[in-house]
Amino acid sequence: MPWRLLRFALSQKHPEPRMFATHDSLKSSYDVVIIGAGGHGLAAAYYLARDHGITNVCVLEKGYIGGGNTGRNTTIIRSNYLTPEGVKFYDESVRLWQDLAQDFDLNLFYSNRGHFTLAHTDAAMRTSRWRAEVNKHYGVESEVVDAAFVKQAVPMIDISCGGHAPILGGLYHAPGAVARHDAVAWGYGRGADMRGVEIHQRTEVLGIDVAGGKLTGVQTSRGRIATNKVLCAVAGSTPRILKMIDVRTPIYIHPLQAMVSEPVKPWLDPILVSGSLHIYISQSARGELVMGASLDPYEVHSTRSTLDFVEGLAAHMLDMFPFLSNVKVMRQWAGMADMTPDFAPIMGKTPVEGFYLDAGWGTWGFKATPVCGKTMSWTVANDRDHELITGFTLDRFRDFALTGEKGAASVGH
Amino acid sequence: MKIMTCPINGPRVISEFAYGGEIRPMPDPAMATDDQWADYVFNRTGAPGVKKEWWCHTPSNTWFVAERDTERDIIQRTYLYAGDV
Amino acid sequence: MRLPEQRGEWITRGKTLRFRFEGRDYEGLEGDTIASALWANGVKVLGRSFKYHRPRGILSAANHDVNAMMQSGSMPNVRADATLLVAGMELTAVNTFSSLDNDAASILGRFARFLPVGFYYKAFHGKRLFPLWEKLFRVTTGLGKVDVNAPRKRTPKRYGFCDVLVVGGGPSGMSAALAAAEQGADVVLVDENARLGGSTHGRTDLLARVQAQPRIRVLTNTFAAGYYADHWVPLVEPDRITKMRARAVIVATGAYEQPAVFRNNDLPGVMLASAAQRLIHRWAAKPAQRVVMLAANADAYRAVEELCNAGIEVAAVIDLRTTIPEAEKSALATRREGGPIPLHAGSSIIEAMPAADGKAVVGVRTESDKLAGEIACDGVLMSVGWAPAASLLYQAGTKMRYDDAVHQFVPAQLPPGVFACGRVNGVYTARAADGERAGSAAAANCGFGVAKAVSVPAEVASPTHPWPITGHPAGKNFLDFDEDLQLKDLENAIQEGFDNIELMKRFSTVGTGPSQGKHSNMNALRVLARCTGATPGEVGTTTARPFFHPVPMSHLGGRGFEPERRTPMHTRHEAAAAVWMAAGVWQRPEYYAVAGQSRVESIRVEALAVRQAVGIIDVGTLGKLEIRGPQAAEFLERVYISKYAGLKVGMTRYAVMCDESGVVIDDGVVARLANDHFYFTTTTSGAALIYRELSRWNTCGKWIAASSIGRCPGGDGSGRTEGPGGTRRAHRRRSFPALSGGA
Repeated sequence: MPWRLLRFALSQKHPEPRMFATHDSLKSSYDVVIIGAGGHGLAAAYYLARDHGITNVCVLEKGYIGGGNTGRNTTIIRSNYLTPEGVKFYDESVRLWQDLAQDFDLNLFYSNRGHFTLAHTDAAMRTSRWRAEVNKHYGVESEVVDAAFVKQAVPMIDISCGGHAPILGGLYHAPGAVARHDAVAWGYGRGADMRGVEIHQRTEVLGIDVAGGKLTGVQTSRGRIATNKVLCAVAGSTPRILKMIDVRTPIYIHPLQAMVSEPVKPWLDPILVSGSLHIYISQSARGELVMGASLDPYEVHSTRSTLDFVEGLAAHMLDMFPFLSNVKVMRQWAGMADMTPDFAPIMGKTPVEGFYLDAGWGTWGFKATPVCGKTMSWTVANDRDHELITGFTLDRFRDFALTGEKGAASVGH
Repeated sequence: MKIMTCPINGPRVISEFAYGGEIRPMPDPAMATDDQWADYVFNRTGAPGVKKEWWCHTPSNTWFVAERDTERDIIQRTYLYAGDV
Repeated sequence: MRLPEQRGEWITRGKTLRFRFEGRDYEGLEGDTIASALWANGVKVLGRSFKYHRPRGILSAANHDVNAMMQSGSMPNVRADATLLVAGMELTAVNTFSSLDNDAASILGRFARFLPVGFYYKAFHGKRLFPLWEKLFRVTTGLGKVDVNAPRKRTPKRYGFCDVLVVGGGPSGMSAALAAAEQGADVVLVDENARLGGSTHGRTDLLARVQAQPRIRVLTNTFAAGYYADHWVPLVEPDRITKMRARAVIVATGAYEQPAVFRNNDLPGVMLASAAQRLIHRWAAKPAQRVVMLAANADAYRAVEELCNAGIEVAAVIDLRTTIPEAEKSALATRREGGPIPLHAGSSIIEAMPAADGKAVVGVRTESDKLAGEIACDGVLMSVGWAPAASLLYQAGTKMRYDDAVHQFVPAQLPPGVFACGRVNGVYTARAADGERAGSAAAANCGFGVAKAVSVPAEVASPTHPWPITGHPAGKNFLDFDEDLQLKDLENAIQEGFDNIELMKRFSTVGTGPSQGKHSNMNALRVLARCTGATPGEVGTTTARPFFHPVPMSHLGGRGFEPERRTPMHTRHEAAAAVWMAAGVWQRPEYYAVAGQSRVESIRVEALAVRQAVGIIDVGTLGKLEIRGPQAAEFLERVYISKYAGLKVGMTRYAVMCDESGVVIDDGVVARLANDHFYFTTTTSGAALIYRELSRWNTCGKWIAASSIGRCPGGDGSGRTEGPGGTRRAHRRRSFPALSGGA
């Protein structure tokens, strides 16, 4: 029993203050306004205050802290991407994750489980080799492994997958991890709040004021704020905000669904992704099996669930783990993924001066939370794109210079 | 499962259909500037609303137009393309 | 202990089923659930709680007793309160250490003060130590065990169709089904229980009328797992799933009875009054010898009558209300030798007293001054209110509002084709009338008759108490039994800033357990409302996601449907001892096995043959398209990077396809069969997509007008010779139709 818990036993009243202050009203102006109190927005606020000394910042949130994709994703953290830009960026994020719990003094349940991208075809094995080479070149631990290695790590797997999609091997990424997603938002939120940042929940952005191509203010459901800098980190709501400033992007919104089983005693250590079966699975600290699959096939701006999703996911999961037949699915849910044509994000400056975008995070944004906070706060503070995000700027579409991550992000997220 | 009405084959489950994206007017490839072409190729009206979209009933390979509220996923109308969208 | 025969009981006396629980032998009766059989055997500790490993018994007997989950062979998390007993069952309680009786982990209860809400966020994160702590957490976490050797179950699915689907076979649901059927609609009525009737326990004439109505199909032991777009509702039976497409859905799912919060309200023997009623009426299992009723509604007094009829002593009724309608009190009059049952109005239980071993309730202490002492009892029944079983309504997109007259959320605006009646609609008294109204309206919605005007009187008294919570300073006031959360845990979470319903849920985990908050969400919401000075309506609810009850993976996965495609040369490959590999849905030979040789050696033999002589590759899996029309060549030039206008008839050209951004997406070969007629191939995986995309361009018309694009059937074979001998033997192509185009 850690000593830290002693204070709970010794105090009459619960000895914990509020994690985030409530503010009765908005100020008339801020140096920076961040739209979206998810992981990304709060991380940017945290690093703006901590690393750049900019504390006259408010974070506006339509709903509640971490209520969007931060609280809806399947919490996988990895850096085994395909492009040099991606690998470098996500690797920096994985590095930042290591110290985050200490930075926050909050347990994030950052759990290093190892991550398999299973290959069922020769083509998938080739992609594994390609990814392993790129990863190793940039110092990221990634190995091509054979079926026997997979079987040894996960002895209960049906390596033939019901006979119709035998596992040939895959890419093993030892640093692959999961974390408690909500706590990440709370940690950043509390850290930002402690440093003077104001978090305003239930405050919706209704309009954005631009004069002569420059940002001048934000209209909210609780009044107008004057500001010259806005960072937009709103995932599935990005197109709604961009419409307010008339900026066109390739972002399109498709739902991503997931499901979770009843808690069972832990039996699965690593995270498994199968590109051919279009599924992935990990077991949470609560013993629940967290399972997902690919994106919904068409645009919807809501978090509705479909039955065909869980049917398909369950059928394929049983190919891999037939004994899960008796395990019950407890809940399904969805998030709105802001997708891009090349499965890479859109970050940095925009045609509107003072409006910064952190978007296009589709289905793969959770793992990037720390590095996005770091690089976007730097970008906002210096009004210049951070060097790690230059591969992700909006210009790349105009220039036909895409950062193709589809091979590493489509089902693996 | 959601139901969509194919203008030829009538109401069918949505798994029989393929989504073709919002109908976007294509600039003349011979005349368009690179910027215009890039805008056409990549950019879209990402915000929710009632949109005119391409949908295909895959068993019969019927392409048609659906007017759909993308916020609530309600299909308002479907009809064959008549060149006037 | 078993009661004398109850009218309409679900058990078959004389049909004894032997089973084992925690290593001991027991006997139950056919029709028993695991929980009712154990209760009838006097076993009141059915499981241990999730966090503190406290002994727990029956709470609801209605499929949300998450603390009474069992391991039954390779089946984890079997709900004892809802699972039919089968002879020979070998059962153990889940998540206990050593045994249910002596659970070593119950020591965690002693450390409760160290383990406040969210304690795991506050410690254990030392970089070196976390992995060790995590190992420990992983030992204590989770409920049942998966058996990794269990075989795959393939559970059938079927499709169902009806005009009106009625979910819930209580009085309002039965009445709705009758009204709809009588107007001519084809009705399906589902209920999760073994028999219809709901809380009437069969004492209603509706049952006979439903059975006599030919337009009603009844599915019992079946629950509606969720509501999906366009009235698509999966009906989960024990060994099957029916995907029902209805034209209208009536939600008559009733309400979950809600527990009161007081100290030790989790002791075995403390249960919902409706649970006691189920034990009596369904399984003739005596809930207790001597009970104290904690009341706050008319249901409590009806239950008192039923208890007395069953020969159970009611020691006292403690009512949270100060004024109690005379009509309700009449149940107390002559029910006990030596005078009426004592009633303590405006009072509450502040504490249930545990037996020395903590495994049973032995009495209660109340708030009332007149009753400073304890009331001895071996059962405490709670009848303080209800929460609507509204998850299907939420999933359908119903706007709900909090109704102060009944202290619950009721539908404010229903989506088209969705109807609600009975308790879920806030109607407790005139449930049959409300059902008739909804049934008639639903039938009318499908074009059968006109919606009848049925008057449904409003409730005179609220069936639900707005604050059934009595916080004892010494704690153990349980609010969420799944997650072992106490009143103070929620108050502390709110103090830490998690003061909206979603954040509170996520931080405290209230409502996230296997019952998904069926008995905790409403009290949690009330605590939050009180702490923040908001009304329950302002606080609102969390999102009710599917499923209503957890659904086995085998039901969702079904039989597994893996279609596969074969080329016309399939039998020839087989004759050549092909070892198959999947290429998408196609079966292609990976290599031809040479007897007595390994895979690699066989492949070498084949490679050598092609190098030195000739081989045939089966490219029948490729997409094969043709295009006809005056602008066919121009069309191809739009999608392929080469020129085809000049290609001579009878000649072929390799083709690379790009998308609009200039990215290569496919390749193949284009052959010109006539001036206005081309035949071309795509990759195997691109076939469907390319055909569809080219068809779209063709539909688009305005851009270019090729007159027709056709897809040659997948069975159309084609082969290609490879190797130096290929040209010589090209005549072999005739043996399978290749470039001839049509099949």
